[in-house]
Amino acid sequence: MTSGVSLQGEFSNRRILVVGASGSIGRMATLKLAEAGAKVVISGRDKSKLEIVADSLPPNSCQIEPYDLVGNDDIAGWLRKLVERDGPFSGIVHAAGMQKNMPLRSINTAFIDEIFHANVTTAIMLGKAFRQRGCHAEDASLVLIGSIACRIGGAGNVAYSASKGAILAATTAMAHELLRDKIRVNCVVPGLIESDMAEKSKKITPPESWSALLAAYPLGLGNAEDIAYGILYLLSNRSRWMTGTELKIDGGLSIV
Amino acid sequence: MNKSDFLLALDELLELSPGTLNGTETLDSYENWDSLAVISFIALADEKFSIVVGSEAIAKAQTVNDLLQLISSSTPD
Repeated sequence: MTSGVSLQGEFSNRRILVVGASGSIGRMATLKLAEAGAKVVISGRDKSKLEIVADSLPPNSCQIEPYDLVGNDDIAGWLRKLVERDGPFSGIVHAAGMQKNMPLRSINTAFIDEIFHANVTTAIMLGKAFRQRGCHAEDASLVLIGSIACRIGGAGNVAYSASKGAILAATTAMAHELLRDKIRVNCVVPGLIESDMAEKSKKITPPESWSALLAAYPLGLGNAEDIAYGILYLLSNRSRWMTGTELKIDGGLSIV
Repeated sequence: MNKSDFLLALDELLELSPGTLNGTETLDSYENWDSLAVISFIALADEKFSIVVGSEAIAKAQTVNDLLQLISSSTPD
């Protein structure tokens, strides 16, 4: 952290798993966790992209574990193997996800299932995996990533917005259920940030619509660092009295 | 996807009966060719061809054949 209460040392010798680590948010969370002294394990479906993330960090800052959450049905078994080899995790960040637009006139159940599976099912199954005996350290933290899209919607964005609403509901329900396991569950809810996902959206959005979208953010466009700091806070024991929380980091969009 | 499959997909996208389009039609003549149809077209290009078609390129398209040309001239993302 650059100012305020420092998280330096907060993560020393704590193992944190970041899934979806090659995306903009996962990548930045990995970087900040490594800087804060965490033993970071990064995962995603594409090994070469994970290697790029690892190469951007100081040597031996993180461990790569390629895994496709969407294409596999045994997330619990995968996590157990990681734990049996190197020990339990203090925290997990679910930064994997999928954003695709599809208007209702063209939508079908396969599309909705794909979005929900990638964004919601994998998050819940990761929660199931994390709660296994021995897989989580004392006072562990699970951080999910929502989206302000679930509050403001958007034409053509029904499935994605609904999936992120489901993530908020899953956060609350999992927070209840995992109290007995001493795992806190919280959700960071980002607004539009400079990211790979935003770059793709910009390309397919008419320039005037894109300008209007940017103008809706009183504090301007955010970046992955803004979100990563929120993630680190929720992973750390500084947030030990928080569970089931929705932490909006949206440049003031939701107050306008 | 060949041209006839592409035209059938566009028929569906524009909520027309299968076999309606032949490629020469002007897009503006269809009420359903609107901003949401553009999103659907972008999704179609991504899903079927792994191509990201930009909104500005689509805005320049005037006919169904122009859309087909966009797909044909793009390289997979």
